[in-house]
Amino acid sequence: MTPHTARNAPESSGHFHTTRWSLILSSLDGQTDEAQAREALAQLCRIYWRPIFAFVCRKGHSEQDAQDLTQDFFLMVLKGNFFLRADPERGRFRSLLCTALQNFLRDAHAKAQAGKRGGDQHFVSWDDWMAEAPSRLTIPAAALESWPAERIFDVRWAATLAERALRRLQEECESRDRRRVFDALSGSLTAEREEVSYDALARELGAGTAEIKRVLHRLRQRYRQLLRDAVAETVEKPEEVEDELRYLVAALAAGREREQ
Amino acid sequence: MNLCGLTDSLAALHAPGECPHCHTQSRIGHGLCLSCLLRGGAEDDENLAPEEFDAALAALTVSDTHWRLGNYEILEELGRGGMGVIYRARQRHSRRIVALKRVLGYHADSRETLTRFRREAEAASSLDHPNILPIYEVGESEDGLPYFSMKFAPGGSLQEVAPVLHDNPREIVRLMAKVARAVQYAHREGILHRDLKPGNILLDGRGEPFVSDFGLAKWLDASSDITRTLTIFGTPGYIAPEQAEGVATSARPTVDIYSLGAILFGLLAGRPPFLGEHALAVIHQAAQQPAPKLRSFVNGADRDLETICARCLEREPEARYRLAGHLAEDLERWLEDRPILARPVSPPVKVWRWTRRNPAIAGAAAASVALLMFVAGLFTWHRQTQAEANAEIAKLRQGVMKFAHLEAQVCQPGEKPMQGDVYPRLARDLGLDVKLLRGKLPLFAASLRRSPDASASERANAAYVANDYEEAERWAMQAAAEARTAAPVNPRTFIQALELAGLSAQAAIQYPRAMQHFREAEKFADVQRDSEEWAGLQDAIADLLFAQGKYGEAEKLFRTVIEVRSRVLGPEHPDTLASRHRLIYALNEEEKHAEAEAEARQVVALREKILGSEHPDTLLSCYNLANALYHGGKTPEAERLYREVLKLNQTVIGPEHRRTLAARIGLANTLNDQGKYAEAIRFYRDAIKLDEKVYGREHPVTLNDRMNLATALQANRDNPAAEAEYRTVITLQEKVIGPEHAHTLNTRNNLAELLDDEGRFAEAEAECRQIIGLEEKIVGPEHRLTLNSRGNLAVALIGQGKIEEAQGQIAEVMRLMEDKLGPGYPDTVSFTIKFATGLAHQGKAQEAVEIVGGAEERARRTLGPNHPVTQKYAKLLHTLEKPM
Repeated sequence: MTPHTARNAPESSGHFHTTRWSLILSSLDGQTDEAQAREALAQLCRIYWRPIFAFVCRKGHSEQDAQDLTQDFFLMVLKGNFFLRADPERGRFRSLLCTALQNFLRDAHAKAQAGKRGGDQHFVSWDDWMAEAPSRLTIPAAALESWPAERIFDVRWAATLAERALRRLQEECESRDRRRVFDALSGSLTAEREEVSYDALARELGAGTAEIKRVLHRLRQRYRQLLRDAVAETVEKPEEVEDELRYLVAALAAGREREQ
Repeated sequence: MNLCGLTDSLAALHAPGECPHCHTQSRIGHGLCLSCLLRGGAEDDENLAPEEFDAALAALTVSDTHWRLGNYEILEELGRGGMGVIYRARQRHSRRIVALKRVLGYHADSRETLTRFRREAEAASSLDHPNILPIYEVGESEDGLPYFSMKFAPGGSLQEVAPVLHDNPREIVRLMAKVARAVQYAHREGILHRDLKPGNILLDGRGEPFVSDFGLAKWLDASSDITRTLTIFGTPGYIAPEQAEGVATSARPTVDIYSLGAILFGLLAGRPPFLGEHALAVIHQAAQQPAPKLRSFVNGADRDLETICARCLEREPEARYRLAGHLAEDLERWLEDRPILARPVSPPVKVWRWTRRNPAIAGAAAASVALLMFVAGLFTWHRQTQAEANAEIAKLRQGVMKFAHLEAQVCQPGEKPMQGDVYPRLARDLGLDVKLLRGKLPLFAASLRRSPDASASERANAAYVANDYEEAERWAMQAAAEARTAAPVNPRTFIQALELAGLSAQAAIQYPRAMQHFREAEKFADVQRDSEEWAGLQDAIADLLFAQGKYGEAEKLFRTVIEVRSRVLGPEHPDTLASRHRLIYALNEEEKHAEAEAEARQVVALREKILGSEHPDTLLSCYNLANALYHGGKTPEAERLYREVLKLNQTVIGPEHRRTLAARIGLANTLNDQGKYAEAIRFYRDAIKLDEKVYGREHPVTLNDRMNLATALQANRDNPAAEAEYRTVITLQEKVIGPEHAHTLNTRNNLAELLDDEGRFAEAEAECRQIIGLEEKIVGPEHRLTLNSRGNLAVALIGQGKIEEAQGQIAEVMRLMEDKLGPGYPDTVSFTIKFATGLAHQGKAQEAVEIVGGAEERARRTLGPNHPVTQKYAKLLHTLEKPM
């Protein structure tokens, strides 16, 4: 059943020439108007709040403080001149946001020392955020304490992208009356051919094995496309999508040797 | 485990399986390896055309509908766990709605385990207790996978209703006493539960608890291969420490007693006794630390309840209640204010305080409606006799069934849904108190939606009341299909079902689909032409045409409906008057202001006579009259009437009522037109804030008001703000009402005018050229909107020095405007002036003089020499003729 999607209806899928980030960047030299760019930025923030929040938590703030700081950070970003100061040379939305966050936390720390922090203005309601996109990311327990905040941020970022694409895929199946197919097959999106029990899936769905193979292949292809679309919204040029994905894969694998 | 905050943000695993491909450990839902997903995306994959994806899905003959399992028709998936899936299903012959669990797990590979599962499920199905969820049937589908069906509990589980119960310890204890009795019964039968948790205690429509999954927990939630499932223990907060650690090879009843205590504690405290980052942390705590005291979380919690919880939550199984029956007895004693038998056994322990916020409370969104229903029942219906209650329920049911249809009668065109206004009329029709109806009808609808006995048509209507229009439409179509295949076919039922489907689609702003439903119904209704029902259907179609911006067609149809209704129902019947109201709207939109005004005056007079002058319906008619006056250019009179209506509405129906909002907007419009921009902008902004609350951000009404705000901003010379507003509204309108709707075109036309004002003539020209063709098609070539766009195009052409092309446009636009709108109409005047000044700027003073001169002459002739418009032209002519 689809809970309440009207207000958070999927935004039009990202064609490259209108990616949100490139829109924001192009507003710098006056190519697009500021209001549109701000709206695009607000939407990106709504999507990518979790990495920010996880980063703040990892920096040792209590959950309550981390919630407040995340809100404050977004308000700062949206009200201030974050995107006006964004320099296309300086990198992608992700890295820029992470740098801005580090600076923000330093300032916030200074303000807190001076006893001035506070303010109850909220960017969006915390409950809405939670409800909009529940996350099911799990990482090794040890990682919580051992990974640096920057890596937690990147992993969270990666998960946000991957889950966003997965949700889209689910919506697409649902709108075609094939939610059952999604439920049954989505667990095998990354499995190697020989690991998938096509027979069992065929049995569950009451379909032929060959059909299942075909449709799983298509689901994978579609998922990859949706994932690339999601990434495309955060980069300036289409060529960067692949680089960004590779960067995130590397971040996930980083330091694996050290842990072992 | 509650999914909130960090626990959600980073649920961690003690020993997650390493991905065999990339050796990383981060996973997302469905056990998918995050790194592998991303790597897949980075691989150079050829693009898959959406049609190919569609085709691949369509080729699989596994749609979500018409899915059967054994003797059951699967209706929807309710949940999916490590080992199985649970569905809502319908038994084919009895038509009974059941919950159906299907075991998909890996055990199914072995014949022996399947047999064992069957045996245990059959043992569980032999349990016969009023508070144990009955298992109806244990079966095996064609594919060899076992399933079992059980009673469908529509009230949700304790987990969902916990937030509402939180402040009601008596109710909690009453429920838990029953649960404990049920557990005691099962224990006596030799069956342990082993996974008691709030999610396993279900509620029926009356709020009676049912314990589910007795003896089956290990089949459904746990897995022998713990690396495969990500959450090893479904609900670590409720599991006894010795069970979690696997100490007891043969579990004892005390594990269930621990869980009962944890549930009781959780309900009273709003959180389970132990919380942690991850499952194992919770279990370790439960094994190593004494359970916290209830009163460390709930100030002023009852001392006896604290003792009862503590007794259940003892780490040593021997120290707990020995039998579930003993726990039940203590709970019952507490309910009867008798001393409990348990004594605090542990010496006061150091209370371990949690500094984390309480996820259970933070995560608690809305309470389950079903529970609210039963709570409401407890407080009010107990005082009624059964007969009174039954009569009330019958009326509520009737109310649900009439709701959508009545709403269609009561609302203004394009304003649906507007449920608030239905209640007075519905209350009158049913002979119930409005307040009572407002309070109970939504609750009743919510429970009817989930009731296994409800028909498709009842579900559809109930979903409509609950604002779930998509589901309403689905069920209505189902009802229509049933009516069509019934023998004998009942056309009336069929038409009603399709009408409801159409109304639902319209409320969900799915206009083309709504029209399909209505047209389909019309085919059947045709034989009964001229009936009241036929009129109702035509009224709905006309309303939809109106919503689609097809005002001319709507007008014609409204007139037919009015004629039929006056004849069949009488000229003073509310439905007849409602149609006349809509006709006024249509006339206004068609710029037939004189007719609209006359119609409105008649309706106001009728209503004042029938209802009195301060009745909400009379006020609505006055509002319509004000609209007609406003659109007809009688601005000061309109302003006076709007102010009066606004004032009365605020006291009669409340300041946040939609009609009050509408009057506020009307007033703002008149202020805007009279140049009182700052005041207008203030009124608009206030109204839009309320619009977003009442209608939603993307509702056509909200968008329309934002468009009006933009015109005021523009008039107030705040062009950047106006432009941003126009562009946002256009984007949303194209999405919501479509690019070919008159309102969308109107906004685009306003944007073009703004671009002209700004001197961005090339942009303006492009915009105008795009919309003029559409406007000619949608509203006709002589409509004000089309003429305005052509005027704006001419201004853009002049600005770019394309004088020759412009002159052709100007001559025709002026002729048509003077002809169709009149020489004194504000648009006519303002465009004449714009053309002239534009030409003058281009150094074409002679052409400018000719235009103004011609207009002046015609104005002098038709309006008279002393008319302000004539004088305005004369003055302009004077300036133009002065040598520069």
